[in-house]
Amino acid sequence: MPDRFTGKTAVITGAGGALGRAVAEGIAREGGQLVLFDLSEDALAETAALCPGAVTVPGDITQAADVQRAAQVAQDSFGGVDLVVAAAGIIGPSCSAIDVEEEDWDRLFAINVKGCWLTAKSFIPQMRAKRAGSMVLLSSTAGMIGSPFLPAYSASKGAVVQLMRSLAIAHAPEAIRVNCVCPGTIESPMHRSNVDRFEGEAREALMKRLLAVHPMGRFGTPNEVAEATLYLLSDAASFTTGVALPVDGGRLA
Amino acid sequence: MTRFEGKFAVVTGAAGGIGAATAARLVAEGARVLLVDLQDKVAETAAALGQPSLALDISDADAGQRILAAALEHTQTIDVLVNNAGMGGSGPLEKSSDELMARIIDVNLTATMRITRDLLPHLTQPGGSIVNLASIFGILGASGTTAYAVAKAGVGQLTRQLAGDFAPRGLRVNAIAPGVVQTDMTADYFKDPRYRALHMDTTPLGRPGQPEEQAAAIAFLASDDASFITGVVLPVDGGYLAVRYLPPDAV
Repeated sequence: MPDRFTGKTAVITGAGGALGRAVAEGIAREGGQLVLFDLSEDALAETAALCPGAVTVPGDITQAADVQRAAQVAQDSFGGVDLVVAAAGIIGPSCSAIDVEEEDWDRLFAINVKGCWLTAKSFIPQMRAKRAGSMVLLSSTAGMIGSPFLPAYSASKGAVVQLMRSLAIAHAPEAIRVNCVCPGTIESPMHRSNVDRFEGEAREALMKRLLAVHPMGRFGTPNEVAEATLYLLSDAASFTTGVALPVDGGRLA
Repeated sequence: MTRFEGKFAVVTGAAGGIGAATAARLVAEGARVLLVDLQDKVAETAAALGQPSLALDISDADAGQRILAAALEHTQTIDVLVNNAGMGGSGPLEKSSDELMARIIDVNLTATMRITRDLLPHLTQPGGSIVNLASIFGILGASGTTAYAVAKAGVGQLTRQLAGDFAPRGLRVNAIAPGVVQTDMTADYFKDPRYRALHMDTTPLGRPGQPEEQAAAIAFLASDDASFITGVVLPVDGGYLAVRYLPPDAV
């Protein structure tokens, strides 16, 4: 592959997570400059070590001042961003919706939904100034269909898709494209934290059920999600906006 | 670009437009491609790319077997099948004769099923990839183009259907849904003020797509970059399907 991102600057939120890190590595590999944002300084340092020249900004995605600070760093270091990847997110409680605790609900929505909104609010103006740009929000198959096991997560990821559509339409005249990727189950720490809530037979049953709903008969890898994200970010997708692209081994088909 | 180094692809409807752009893209990324089309002009398009070609009507009963025979002169297995051939010329139901309906559905839908079935034993498994051409008009209702829209909706459903059937053997099946694209097939539509108002003005990116942009999406889905993507109908439509849209200065 040629260097699709030479001369481009990208910000990645949740850059310490498995998916954010895979996207960051891909952009760095193809010549892009990076601003990496995450709550965990350790995770951020690990990703930065894989991406020469990356600038890191530790911060809380739910706090406007923190996200705005990252935008200022992007402006000061690179003259603003061309690409935005909103990968910060958590999976939240696994129980029926009516059993979710209020504070868990609020925290999940603050990170998964408000975080995406703050990211758009802080970084789209930089792309607008360039009259070009591409943003990818990480949703989920759970954002497209209901989930009895992760109802709060599902609701939050559905909100991300609808936010994406509204951003896409609002900023299309400015030649800024906005899309989502919707991963199915991916081999990642988030997936493991989900299944590790259970033990023994219950864990086995959950794993079996998750595999069974993926027609390809396996889980995806962070790199497969990253490749789809890089495609949507790149000029190869120049006529695609407002789309939620499943990366799910056929789950939603 | 070497995503298709050592790979063999079959592209139908490859004489011009999206098909020719797709063949050119795959060749540029290292593939050998058999270009298939109804029009004899396909030989020129193929020759310019240094690739083999085959002129036939994809709705002929033996089209699949003839494509297969032509492909097997160059390869053991077919890694990528792009079912791009299609035709417009549909109309509202009351003006659709039996012949017109049958022809539109045959070329746009049934031929895709038949050719996929006939090539299936020779598609690379695991690792192969099929990309079909659906349409925005097969997803939203589109007034005045009944048989075409129904056939393209069928292509979307065929894509989901086959994705499930073929996933266990590692063969992926996806489609793109082009929006308004500037090709010879659409040149006449672009002159129609009603078409422009309905479909061009309502495309948020504010311009028609180019065949090369459709080809880039097809190449992505056909490549290993999309190795966990199957059963997807990917809009390449400038945002057309995301909203009910009029430009800010329209009203």
